Parts: sequence; structure tokens; C-alpha cells
Amino acid sequence: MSYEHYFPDPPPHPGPPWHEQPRATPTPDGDLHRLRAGYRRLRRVATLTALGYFTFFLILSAYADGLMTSGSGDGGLTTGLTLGLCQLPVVLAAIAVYERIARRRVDPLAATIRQHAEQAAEAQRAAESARIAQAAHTARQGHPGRPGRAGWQRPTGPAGGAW
Amino acid sequence: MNGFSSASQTMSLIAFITVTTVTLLLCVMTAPEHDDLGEFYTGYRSLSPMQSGLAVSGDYISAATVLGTIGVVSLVGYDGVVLALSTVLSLVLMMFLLAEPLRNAGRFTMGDVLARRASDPAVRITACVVTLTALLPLVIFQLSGAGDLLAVVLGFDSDGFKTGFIVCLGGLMIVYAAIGGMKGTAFIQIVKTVVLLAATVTICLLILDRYDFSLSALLDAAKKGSGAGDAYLSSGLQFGGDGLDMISAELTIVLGAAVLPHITMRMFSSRSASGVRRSMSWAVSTVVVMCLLISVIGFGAAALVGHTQLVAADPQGQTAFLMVSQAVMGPDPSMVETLLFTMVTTAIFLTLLASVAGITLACANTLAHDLIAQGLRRTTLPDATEMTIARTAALGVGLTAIVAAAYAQDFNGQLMVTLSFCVGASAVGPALVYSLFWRRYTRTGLLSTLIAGTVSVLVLMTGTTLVSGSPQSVFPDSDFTWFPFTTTGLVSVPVGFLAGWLGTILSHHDASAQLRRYEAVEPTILAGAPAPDGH
Repeated sequence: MSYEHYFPDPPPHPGPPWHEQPRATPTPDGDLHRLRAGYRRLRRVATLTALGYFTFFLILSAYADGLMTSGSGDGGLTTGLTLGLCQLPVVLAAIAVYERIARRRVDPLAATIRQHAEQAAEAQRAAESARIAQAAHTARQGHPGRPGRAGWQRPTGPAGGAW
Repeated sequence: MNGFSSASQTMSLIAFITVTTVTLLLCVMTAPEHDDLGEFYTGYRSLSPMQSGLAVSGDYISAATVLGTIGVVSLVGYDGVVLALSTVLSLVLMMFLLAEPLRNAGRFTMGDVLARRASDPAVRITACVVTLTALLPLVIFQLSGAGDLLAVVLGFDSDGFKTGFIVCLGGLMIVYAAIGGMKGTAFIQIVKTVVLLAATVTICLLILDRYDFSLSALLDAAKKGSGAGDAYLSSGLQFGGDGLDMISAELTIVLGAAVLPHITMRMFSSRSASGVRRSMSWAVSTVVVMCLLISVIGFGAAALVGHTQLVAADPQGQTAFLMVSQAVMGPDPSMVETLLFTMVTTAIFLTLLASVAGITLACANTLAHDLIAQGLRRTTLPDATEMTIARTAALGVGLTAIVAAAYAQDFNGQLMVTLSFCVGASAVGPALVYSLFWRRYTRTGLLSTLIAGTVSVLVLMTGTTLVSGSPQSVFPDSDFTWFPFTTTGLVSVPVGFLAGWLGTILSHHDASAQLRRYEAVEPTILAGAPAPDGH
């Protein structure tokens, strides 16, 4: 495996900005895409449900006074208080469900991506140190002007002076 | 109000001194040992999910929340319960929407999260200013209220003593924030949450016991005691029947309460995204239980103490919790009952102390990290220097808060809490949502959101009934009300979101660079991968 993929990002494409650009390595991007979609769905559903129900409850409280104060049964609770206090157990159930879904669908993907990124960083560090080692090696070998390395300047200064 | 027996006052005083000593020890023992920023700002992310969950709920259930909400429930009934529910929902939304990406994108402060998208001194400085605008009113309000409460509990009812209590409490708060850092304050929050839960559960059971655990009997008595009859259990008492005002106020709390920087900074001290999820589950569960307890205690205060006495002691009902605890014990308390009452006063004392310490720490962190280390300086500061700055900043923020609180004792506290939540909902919330999820969001958009959101809150606030035109307002004698609601959220939240959108659209030329920038940090935000720039 070469470490060509892991070199720092190429200079930015001038092409159409917000389109998925095809990449050489499909796996991490595919995972990222799935993670993004998974998170987005989870977040949207959870947030909109919670916020929607509460807004509905607020509107009923503010404008449907008759409905919300009716139904004081034997519990002494009005419909409004019942609807309100029911939110508390519902909230507990909702966070349990959220945590379960997130653990099943999102965490494995996130772990893959994290692992991948860590490997990439590792490989980049290795590449860096290999390059430095090679540079030092070449400097010590003292083969000036090798044909394949025309563009590469042999380091001068301390390294050369030490030799 | 001078009904507390001298025995309970002596015991309260002893309990306060004990609690102070123990928490100070705890704070010194858990304090960072090395000059390491990670340790000071996040405690090395070494807390377990349960511990950090309890710390989040401790920060979230501030003294203003406990005492204020119990007061509102006892005075206006149904609207108070809705207020408690909004508080719960705000933390739930925080957990669903922001907690995990915040943990992944953030490092030490809210400025770090925003700088992921637009690393720029202007962004840092604006983030710092917005943080201070949102948090300083909250700490000043709680500190000035603390003077009154402690004076009531300990029976020293002169202005000199009140100022003395403010100074003492403020001094302690500075020490906790400056020495303990993130982890030290976290342990104080945990102790506070446990003590407060124990005290509220006990009082709640005693109240329910008075009514043979019959909710209908309690509600009937509360209706009678409130003097409002059936209206007590329906919406309208708090906002004079203005439905839109009610909806606006509650939604502002839902959007603003949990995004305040002293709550978001606790997210950064979790180990991982799944850890933050776990700890938020603990925090939300704790807050749900507290909400239920607060409602019952509020109803109990209306039933056992009665509207007239509650208002006589404090027009906002801040002392309702204390009064109902005393009422439920009966006129001639036994030894056990005096002990229980001492537990309540200790819980209130700890709550006051912990909430102001947490907020002071958040202010100090943003001053040191966002304003000085990243905003004004071009070169990187050594860790030891930045930590010294953070500790000095805690001292500075604390002293400012003490002086302001001493002068603001008769100021309308409602205004300051509302200001804080409105800035949270109109500037902090939109900025965080956009920068974590909107791929095209630009630096201009970010600055527009923060500035327009905050400025619109400040401008609109001058027109509300909290500033003029009502007996409790800042200028009760004049009336220049031009904004018909008590909170500014109905207008300022859309302004915050719109400004961010417009700013982004109008600065279109650098939008594609921005998109690439987002793509570069996306694995970090979503999956917690190591950040490209090594943070």
C-alpha cells in the first residue's frame, strides 16, 4: 500500500462547489455519507417530535382554555395538567429510545471513520518521518544530481556541514 | 418574615460553615496539579458519564431555576408548570440536537466550536462578548438574590448584612472557580445535585403526606390558597391572558436555557460522543424528576402558605420553597424537623454557591481562552500563562459580579434572567446550530448571527414591560413601553437566524472555500475524528 492517498489535501478544485466529488477512496467517504444521513435523520425526527409536541401543547394552553380546563375527573387533574405532566415519562422514554438507536446505528459508523482518520494521521506521520529519514540518507550518500531527482535540492547547511 | 426558630438558624449557620469547609477541601483536592490547560478547562475528560451528567444537571438547575420556578408555580399555578416543562424540554433538545457534535467540535470554550468553521480573532472576541452578555446578568441576579435569602434564613435583616453575605458568597465563588477549575466545580455541582434532590424529595413527601397522597386534595387546597380559584389551574395568570406572549416566553426558554455557555462547556469534559449521550441521559432524567418535585412543592406552597403571605415575603415568590418547608413542619418543630429544615437551607445555600461558581468559571474561561489567548494575541501563550490568566479572569469576573450584585439588590431580577435566556436563544443557539450543521455558513454569517441576535435583544428589551410601565419594572414611574411582550424571543430569535442566513448569502464569494472547510472538519464534528489542525 502506498501512502499517496494520505498526503495532505490537494489544492482545492475550482469546480462546482457543493457537489459530492468522486474520491479515490470510497470507503471512508461512503461511511461519512451514511453517518451524516443517519445522524441527520435521528436528529430531525427527535428534535421535531419534541419541539412539535410542546408547541402544540403551548398553543392548546393559550387558545383552547375550555378544553384544557375540562375533564377534572376524580384525580383532580385538568386535561392541560395531564397533557403537561405526561410529557415527563414520555421524555424519559424518548431519551432511552434515542440512546438505543444512536448506539446501534451511529456509533459503529463513527468508530470506523475515527479509526480511519487515526490510521491516516498515523500513515502521514510515518510518511513524514520516512521522508525525513530518506532525505538525511540521501544527503549522507552524497549523490548530487541524480536524474530522477532533478527538482530536489540537497539540503545544505548543518547536515552538509556535519558530513 | 421572621418565623424561623433560633435553633434552626444556629443549625443552618453551622451547616453552612461545614458545607463551605467540605466543598473547599473537595475543591483543593480535585484541583489541577500541573499547569495543564486540558486539566483546568476540561478536567482531562476524566469524569464518568454519571458524574458529568450530575454536574450538567447541577449547572442547569441553578438557584434561579429552583427558587424562581417554585415561586412561579406557587403564584400562578398552571403557567409555572409550563415553565418547568420548558426547562426540561430545553435540555432534551440540547441532548438530541447539539450535545454530541458540540463535544466533538469543541475543545475548551464555545469560541473553540465557532472557530472550527471560521478561525479568526474577530469571531473569538465576539464569542467572548456574547458569552459575557449572556452570563453576567445571570450571575449578578443570583448573587444579589442570595444576599436576601441568606439574610432571611439566618435572621439578619439589615442591608449591611445582606451586602456582607453577597461579598462572602462571591469570595467563595471566586475561590471555587479559580482553584477548582472544571473538575473542582464539577464535584461541587454533584454534591449540590444530590443534596438538593434529597431535600426536595423529603419536602415533597411531607407535603403529599399532609394531603394523604391525594393529588386532587392538594390541587383543591392550592386553588383555594392561591385566591384565584379555577383560574389557578388554567393558563393566563402569568401573562395576563396574552397567549402569544406566553408562547413566546416559553419557546425562548426552550431555545435559550440549555445553550448558555456554562452548560455547553460541560459537554467538552465528556470522554466521547457516546459518553456525552450517556451523561445527558443522566442529566435529563435528573431534571425531569426535579421538574415534578418543583411542581408539587409549588402547589404545596400555594396550599399551605397561601398567596398573600408568599407575595408579602417576596413579590416573585423566591422564598416560597423556604416558607413551605417551614409550614410543612408545623409551628412547633421537633429535633428531626429542625434537622430537615436545615437540610433545605443547606441545599439552597449549596445551589446558590454552585450555580454562581459554574457561571464564573465559564466567564473566566472565555475571557482567558477566547479573548486573550486566541483573540488578542498573535502568538501562542504557554499553558502556565494562560492558566494564570484564567484564574485572574475568575477573580476579575467575580469582583465585578460582587460589586454589581451589591448595587443591584433592588433591581428587577426578572429582567436580568430574561435578558440572559433571550441572548442564549437569539445569538448563541442560532450560531451553534448553523456552525455545526450548515455547510455553507461563512464567517460573515457567523458574526452577523452573534451581533444581530445580541443587539436585537438589547434593543427590544428596552421596550418591554420589564423596563418601564409596570410596578416591578426598572423605571416604574415612566412608561415608554413599545414592545408588547415580556420576552424578546418572538422577534429576536428570527432576527438571529435571518442575519446568519443573509450574511452567508451576501458573502457568497467565499462560500465554496467555506464548504471545503466544512468538509475538512466534518469527520471531526460527526465522528469525533482527530481534528485536521491538531486541536
